[in-house]
Amino acid sequence: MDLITLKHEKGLCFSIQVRGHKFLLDMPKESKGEDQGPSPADTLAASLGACMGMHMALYCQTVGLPYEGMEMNLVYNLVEEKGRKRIQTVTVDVILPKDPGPRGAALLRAGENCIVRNTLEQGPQIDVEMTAE
Amino acid sequence: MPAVTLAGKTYEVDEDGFLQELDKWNAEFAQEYAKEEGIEGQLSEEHWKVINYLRSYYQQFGIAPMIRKLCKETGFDLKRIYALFPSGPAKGACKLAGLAKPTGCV
Repeated sequence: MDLITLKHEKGLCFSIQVRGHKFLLDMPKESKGEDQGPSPADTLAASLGACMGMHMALYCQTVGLPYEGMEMNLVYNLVEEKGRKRIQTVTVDVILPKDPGPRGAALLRAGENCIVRNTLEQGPQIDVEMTAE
Repeated sequence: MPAVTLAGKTYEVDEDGFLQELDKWNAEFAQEYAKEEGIEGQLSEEHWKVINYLRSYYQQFGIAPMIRKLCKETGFDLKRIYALFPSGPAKGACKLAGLAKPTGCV
């Protein structure tokens, strides 16, 4: 497993480093951030989309379906229950370069069996410890 | 209470610009507010299809429809909805349609 390092940069903005990649997460201005990067919820939804897309791409590779240039558009909405906000619904449109025909159902199933979706559906253990320098 | 003035008429809105007096909505409100949302020119038939569906649904159920329902009933996919309303179905289309702010707004 790779170490992911997050560092507070400014305001609500955090930089994320993993395996030589670096990017920023922030909140939108209307949520007290400076919009220097996507929000954690944006990233979670995008991760779901990307994970599904990768699994669909792998399936297409296996069965010889065209997938290059496939596009996914997604939106999510939040709900607040008992003081706790969460993503309620993620709506995903998948646009394929060509109709998959009779393999369409199997292709959708391939996208449904991805790490991120499985994790969201079951919920991981989250173990946090805090110290001070 | 904040207010916006569109075509000489003043409308009470919330802090996010959503109409507060829902019975004051009219087509002129939508057309004028469209400019504030970055929509240039006259609202198209496609814009009105979305706005009219939102209003019809809201009048029947008291809430905005889920985005998938909006897509299926209008025939527009997510990409088209966002092309028509750059602020999105909630902050863009619902606002122009004079609905109360959807609870699931990000």
